[in-house]
Amino acid sequence: MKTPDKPVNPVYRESLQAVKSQVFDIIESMNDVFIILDKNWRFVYLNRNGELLAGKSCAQLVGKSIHTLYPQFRRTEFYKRYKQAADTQEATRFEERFEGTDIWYEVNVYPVSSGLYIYLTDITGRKRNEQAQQFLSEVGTILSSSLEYEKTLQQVARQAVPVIADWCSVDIVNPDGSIKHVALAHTDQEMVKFAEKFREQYPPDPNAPTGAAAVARTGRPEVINDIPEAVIKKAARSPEHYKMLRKLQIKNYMCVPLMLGNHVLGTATFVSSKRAFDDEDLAVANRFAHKAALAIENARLYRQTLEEIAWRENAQKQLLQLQEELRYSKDQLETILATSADGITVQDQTGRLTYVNDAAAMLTGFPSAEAMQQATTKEIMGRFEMIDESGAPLPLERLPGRRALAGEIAPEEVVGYRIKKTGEERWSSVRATPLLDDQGNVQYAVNIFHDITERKQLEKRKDDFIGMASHELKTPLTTLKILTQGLRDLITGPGRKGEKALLVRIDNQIDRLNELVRDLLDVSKINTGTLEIHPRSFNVAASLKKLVADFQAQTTDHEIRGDWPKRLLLYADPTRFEQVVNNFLSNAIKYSPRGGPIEIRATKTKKSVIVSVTDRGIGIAHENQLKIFERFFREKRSGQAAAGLGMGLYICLQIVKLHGGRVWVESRREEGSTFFAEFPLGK
Amino acid sequence: MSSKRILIIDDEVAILDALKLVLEGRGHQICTVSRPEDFSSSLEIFQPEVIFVDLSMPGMDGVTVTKRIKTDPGTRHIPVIVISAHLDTEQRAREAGADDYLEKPFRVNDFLAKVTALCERT
Repeated sequence: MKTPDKPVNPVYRESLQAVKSQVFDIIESMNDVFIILDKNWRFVYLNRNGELLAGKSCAQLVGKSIHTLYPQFRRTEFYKRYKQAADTQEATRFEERFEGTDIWYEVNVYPVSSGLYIYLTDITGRKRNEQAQQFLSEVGTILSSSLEYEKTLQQVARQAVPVIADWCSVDIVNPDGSIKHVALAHTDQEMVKFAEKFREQYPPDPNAPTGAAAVARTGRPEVINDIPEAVIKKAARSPEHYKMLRKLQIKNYMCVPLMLGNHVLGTATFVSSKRAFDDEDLAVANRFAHKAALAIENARLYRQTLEEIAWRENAQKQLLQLQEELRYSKDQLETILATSADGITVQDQTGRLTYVNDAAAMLTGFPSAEAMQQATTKEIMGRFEMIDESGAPLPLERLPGRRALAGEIAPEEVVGYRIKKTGEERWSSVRATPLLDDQGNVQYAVNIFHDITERKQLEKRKDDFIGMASHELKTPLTTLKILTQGLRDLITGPGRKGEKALLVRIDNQIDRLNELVRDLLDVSKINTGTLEIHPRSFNVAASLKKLVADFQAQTTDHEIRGDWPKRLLLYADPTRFEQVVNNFLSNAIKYSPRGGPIEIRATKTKKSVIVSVTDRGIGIAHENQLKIFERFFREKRSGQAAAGLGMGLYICLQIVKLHGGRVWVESRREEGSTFFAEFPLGK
Repeated sequence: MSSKRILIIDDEVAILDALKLVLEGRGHQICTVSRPEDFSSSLEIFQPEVIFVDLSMPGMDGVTVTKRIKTDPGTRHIPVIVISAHLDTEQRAREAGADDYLEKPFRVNDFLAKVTALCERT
């Protein structure tokens, strides 16, 4: 269309010129890059920024084809879009980045009749922001997708390259303070492998003043841009180390702590070889660090909770198991107690029965355990009469249950009891144990009654038998003695010395036999509690004189001397008295086999008569001096078998005890012994 | 020691035989009774100067025998010595009213000593 010719106003021409000039200034100085291309893709005009972008002046470029100058241009997105705009004659807008740079442009293309008007606006900042937001959003998604933060952190590290940096690595501080490397990313997988090998060979120094370790320690981020070669060289520990460091291309470095409150959970490190890190980068890194820290913390808390739940479930299971075992033990115990043949009772501090088993009830004549448990102490004690082993009535204080409640550790007693109701007589070995509470005070006493009635009956039958047998033995012994004396009567006259001597020895042996039988009988009487003494007043001197005479007749190796008052009255059983002194004398002779003097003494004290027999024989060892009065004690001596039944001194003890007196010995090995018997004066 | 007429009442035949043998060897006259029920007839026939009674006899008990002898006016003048294997012989002897006692086993000489002592008394 042709514009109509008009006379041109000179004022209008001037203002138009001025406007054109202003427009030109604006275009020249604006931030955008402004390029005009003609239909043949030749540069028509570039503004100042265009020149800067191209790196050439407008004059150099005008009239030249863009394809000629930039052969690669044909392959770019730019060309595609320009062509599209030219072909469609429609304005286009797009975003693109020049290859090899980090600079993003928003490109506006306006097709005109003569060609293309192209505006390029630098939107790198905005783009970076978008990318950063995108990155952080993805980080959020990835981190919240799973609680396995080791995996997710590796994934986000990969997201960070190359968007945020060339290298991204994440380390975690373990609860014990050690550093764990969890993620490492680089666009080039080979570099990652190389870096890991590098890390293995040259592990980071935990005490270095800078670096991830330092950040973890201080909790403060670090940004070091444009690291000079010299610094790297200095940091290298060896030429090899330096070579590898260089390969990593650590030009710009940023490290931020992953923090929650004041607590450092780890570090994230970013390295770029091209671009320096600015405040915006640091801000993005911090937000990234914060998300990562939250993810780690959440995961840890969750894991902890799971562990706690598992622990609690386990504890619960164990508790149930324990309860089961306890129940089982309790059942077992109850069964044992119920089926035990021994009576078991438990008394509390007041003596009341808190537990009674069936056997206990049966042994004490109660119809049932419940009945016994409900009875009062008085009722129970009233049911029987109790005696001890010697036949004397048993006082209640001696009952082991009471003694245990008083604190005695293991009181024991043999108790004979007659159940009044039935007349039944039984024997029990009763043992009690105190049960203490936490403070050590006696809370309960456990009594165990072991029925020994049968054993006692057996013992009694044995003792009765021994008594009877001994008695029976006396008849043939008596006969023997009489006949031997008859024989002696027949052997008269001189020249029969041999026969007479033999008869004397036979007679002695019969006497020995008699003594043994008598001892047996005495012991069985002691056991059945039927040993009796028949005391009367007699002159000790006369008895002793007779004994000395009898004994001296039996030995020529020993000289028996006596020392006693001519008249010494004692109220005691004379036969038994003589039995005791007789025993002492036998011992004296037995224990001084090499002969020697034997002294008998009798002295009167205010309250008693003390008789003693002293020999100068082999003596008695100190550890045996009490034992020799025990029932079956016979001193072990090499070569010599102990003579006798070992009862003699035991019987002496019992006889003297029945008189209310006591016996003892004083002795020294190889020097001799003195046996003492003290008889209370009596009436 | 002059010859004595001694009656011995004891259920143990062995002892009776032994005693009879030995005592007759020493010149005494002995009559033995092993069944206590028979003693009264022997008493009448034999007319002993001293009687020995064993206390531990089954059947008729020695204490009873002694008491009978000592209560019968015809026999109570005769000394009675009780024999026993028990150590409480003395007490039982007194209770029975015997004149003396002798414990088994005894020596023949002791036996005869008691005889002498009692016979000399009367």
